[in-house]
Amino acid sequence: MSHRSDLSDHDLSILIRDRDMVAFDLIFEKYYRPLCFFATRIIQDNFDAQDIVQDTFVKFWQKDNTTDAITSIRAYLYVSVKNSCFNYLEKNNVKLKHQQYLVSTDQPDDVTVLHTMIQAEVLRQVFAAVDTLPEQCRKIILMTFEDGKKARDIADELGITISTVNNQKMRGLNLLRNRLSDEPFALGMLLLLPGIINHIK
Amino acid sequence: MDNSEVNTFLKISDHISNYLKGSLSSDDLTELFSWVEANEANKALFNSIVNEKELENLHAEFKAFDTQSALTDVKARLKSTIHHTPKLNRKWPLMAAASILLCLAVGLFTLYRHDSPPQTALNNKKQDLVPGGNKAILTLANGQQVILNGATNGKIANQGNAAVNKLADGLLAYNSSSETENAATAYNTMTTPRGGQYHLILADGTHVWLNAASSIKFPVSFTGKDRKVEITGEAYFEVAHDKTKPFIVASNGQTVQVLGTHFNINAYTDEDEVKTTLLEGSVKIQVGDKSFLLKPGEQSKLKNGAIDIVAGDTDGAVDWKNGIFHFNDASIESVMRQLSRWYDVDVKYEGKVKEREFSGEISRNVNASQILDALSFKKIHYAIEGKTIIIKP
Repeated sequence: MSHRSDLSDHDLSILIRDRDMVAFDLIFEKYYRPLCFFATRIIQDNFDAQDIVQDTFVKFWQKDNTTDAITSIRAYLYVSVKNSCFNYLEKNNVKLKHQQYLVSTDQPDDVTVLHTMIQAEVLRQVFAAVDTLPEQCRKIILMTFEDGKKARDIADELGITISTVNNQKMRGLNLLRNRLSDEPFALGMLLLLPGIINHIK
Repeated sequence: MDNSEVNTFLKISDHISNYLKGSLSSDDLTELFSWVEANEANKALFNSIVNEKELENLHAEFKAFDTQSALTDVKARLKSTIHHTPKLNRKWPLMAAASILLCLAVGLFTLYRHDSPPQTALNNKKQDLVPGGNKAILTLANGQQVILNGATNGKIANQGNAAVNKLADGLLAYNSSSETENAATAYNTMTTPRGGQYHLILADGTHVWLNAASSIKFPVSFTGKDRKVEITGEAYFEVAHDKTKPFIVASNGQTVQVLGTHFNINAYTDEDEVKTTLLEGSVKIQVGDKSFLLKPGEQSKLKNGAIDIVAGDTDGAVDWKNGIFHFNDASIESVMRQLSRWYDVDVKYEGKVKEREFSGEISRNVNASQILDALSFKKIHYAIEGKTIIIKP
């Protein structure tokens, strides 16, 4: 995996001020999915949500970032997407009222929006960690964790033995744990692990 | 929801992520737990996030978004805006604002209409223009003309072996009793005036919606080896499927050949291009000796004998049929041409009207002034004098 993703938002905000296209790509890759998840939850429409997020990135690039320094790229993106979603709902509700046959979606309250933002961010951060694992480990972890596949099915699919799958899985989980827990406080993993280990059995 | 609030919640999301990864400092853990304990909503959110099964479900939704293909699309858009003058960038929020205003206007007008139907508006001192309706003229094979308006329904005529019935206000249908006619095919023509529209069902079951200031010439029954019609202006077709008899629409400079499909042709001679928009099935467009295939969602634009195929706004192209004006980056002239056809008016421009683009949707069932008032949000001024709208800078 590339080291580019190690750049912090602070580094990226400096690069984006210099109109660095690579920085734009990195910001996009980092936040596209969580923002889409966030927008979909607000407007209840998967496709329009993606349009809103893409428009937000276009505006983000067109914005004059030199004078109006973005202190937090992340807060800027979430707030912009939230505002576009609310505009969308307002516009859509007027249209639906006009057509008088569809049920409109109400604007959610601030707390619901903020909680959705938390969900989106946690998903991003937890699964970004999985992406830093070596290829085969990552594949096996994802097949286990996301697709809920049994070791036997994974072994068949990847053309490896079941014991290799289990070894790789343990190795992946250890790597994940080591990579993530710089601090001795590994409480969270204890919560996550039982679920994953159930899959391994 | 202000920035400091957003930053506070983003910090909580970092804490939860680190908690899940097992890398949360004890100070942050204290902070996280006081947030979780603060109220029931926070507690419920935290419990759902740290639940592995739920996290798994959320992640399935999360990973369905295709970052790379979206990035490709967005970068293509950035390139096209970089090539243009920066003027475009400044216009962007204006256009967005205008479309929101237009949409808001629709809502307001709908509300307003409940209290005061167009008739009241006519009684007011201010002149206004009522919207068009179901009006058409049918020219029979012998040249006799029948005016189609009003509410009387029933049989209008017999043409060859087809019975012509007015089924409802704005709906005319041809029923062919047999297909064994040997005589030369008889043709009828339906013409809508400015301010008129009509829905026609042909003898083969094909539905045609004719927009204002348009016409269609069609055989009263389809006895030949193909089904050929000619149109002017704008029409939307839902062609009945018949593999053995291709359906052919000739219009201003092109022919469109189909088997059974849904498409719209906008061939007004005062528009600078002929637009064919395909919603379903497939069509072949013939221009001179060249032919082009359209796929669903595509739109062809014929201009000076050359065809350009683009991804089309299919809803926008047929909104007229559903009683809606749909403007998509339309110039004032383009907007006014559509109003001119529907409100049966002429348009005059006084002085130099600034170039502006309009986007939005508005009902075709409102008085013209209500649409013009919506346009005035973009500093377009107007006056109505009899059957003329005067646009002022």
